[in-house]
Amino acid sequence: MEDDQPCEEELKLVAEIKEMKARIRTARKEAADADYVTETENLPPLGRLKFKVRKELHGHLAKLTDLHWGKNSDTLVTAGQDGKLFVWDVYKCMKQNAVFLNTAWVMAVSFSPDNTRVASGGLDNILSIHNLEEPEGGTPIELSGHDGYIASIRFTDASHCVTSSGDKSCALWDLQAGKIVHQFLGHENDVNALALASHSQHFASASSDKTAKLWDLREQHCRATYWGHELDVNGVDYFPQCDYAFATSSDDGSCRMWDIRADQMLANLGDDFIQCGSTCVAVSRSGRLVMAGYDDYNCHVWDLLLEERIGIMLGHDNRISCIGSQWIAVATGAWDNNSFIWTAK
Amino acid sequence: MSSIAQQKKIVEQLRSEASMARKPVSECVKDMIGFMNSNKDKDFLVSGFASKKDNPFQEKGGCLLL
Repeated sequence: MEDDQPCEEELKLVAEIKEMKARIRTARKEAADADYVTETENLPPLGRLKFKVRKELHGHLAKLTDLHWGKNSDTLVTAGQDGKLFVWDVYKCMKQNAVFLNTAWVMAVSFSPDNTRVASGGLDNILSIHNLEEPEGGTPIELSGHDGYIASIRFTDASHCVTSSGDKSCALWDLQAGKIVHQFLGHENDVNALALASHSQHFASASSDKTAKLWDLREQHCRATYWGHELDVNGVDYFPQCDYAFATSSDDGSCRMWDIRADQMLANLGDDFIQCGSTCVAVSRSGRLVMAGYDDYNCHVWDLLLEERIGIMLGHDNRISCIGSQWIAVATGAWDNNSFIWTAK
Repeated sequence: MSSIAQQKKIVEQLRSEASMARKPVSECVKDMIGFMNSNKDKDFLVSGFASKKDNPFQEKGGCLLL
């Protein structure tokens, strides 16, 4: 027998993998005792929503790649490929802090829970922690561990972060020890984004392998894999507070809502009007709205229950790259070098 | 890790994912709708502002009387 022919054991394993996936599909079907459209179609519609730009944050000299709201929603940190992080007072529309990075190719930024630090990462493969209480972020703590770019970062507590990477893994970092303490393996391609559940017990990841995965932070394993998107999944955001579900955005032009307890997709937000990929997604604080950025320079606002587009956010002059929601406003960042703050009406 | 060892890991992972307890979709949707209704008044992206003064991002315009 030639060496490159699959042996009996390999064939058996391939069959087992197929059987397990079929088992998951069947179990998900069994939990689908109701149809999402039927359960929601009689709810009162919200009507058309008008979103308006209230603040324009000008300062970056290159594309924005990521943003993160501060803990009281009065500050925002933005990252741009001019190699800068800016911390903004969003009401005064002024920079409170600027950090000049050692690399221009930043892709991810996050506030620490108490907002005294920001973490950044990008094509340098390094997780950098900057101290906002020192001028220009002080000397960064630079942590190696990933073999690929860092696409997304979130603090799970004051001394730990999770990251997602182009090396196909997610990682849990102990910042005091200065290293990765657990690697979350399973994705078969770049992990483009992650979102953290509100109590930091689990997180969801979005990958170019067309799936999203749910990871348990306490037991440190993958709990579920969600198939359905037809192309790269590049954005993810949790349903607020209760963490029942999370939304994803994809190059296939759709955004989807995945219910964690039913272990399946509930809502599919897409229509023929949208002819390009969706790049990022945010869920409003009541869970009713899903706002997503697209390659065609727009953001669309979706009613999650009725699966209808009910608003459009026009203002950016290039691809939307990042979005974040809080109770009163939405922040967007784009390849036009700008960040905008929007409110409804 | 050899291909066989990798595939064995994949089988084990899938077995673990298959074994999770799932809640019926009808209950999940009911809970989500309940959460949305309880929070819609605080979600100013859905409900808007009762008056412009309530919007902290509203541009303060107007004229000065000299």
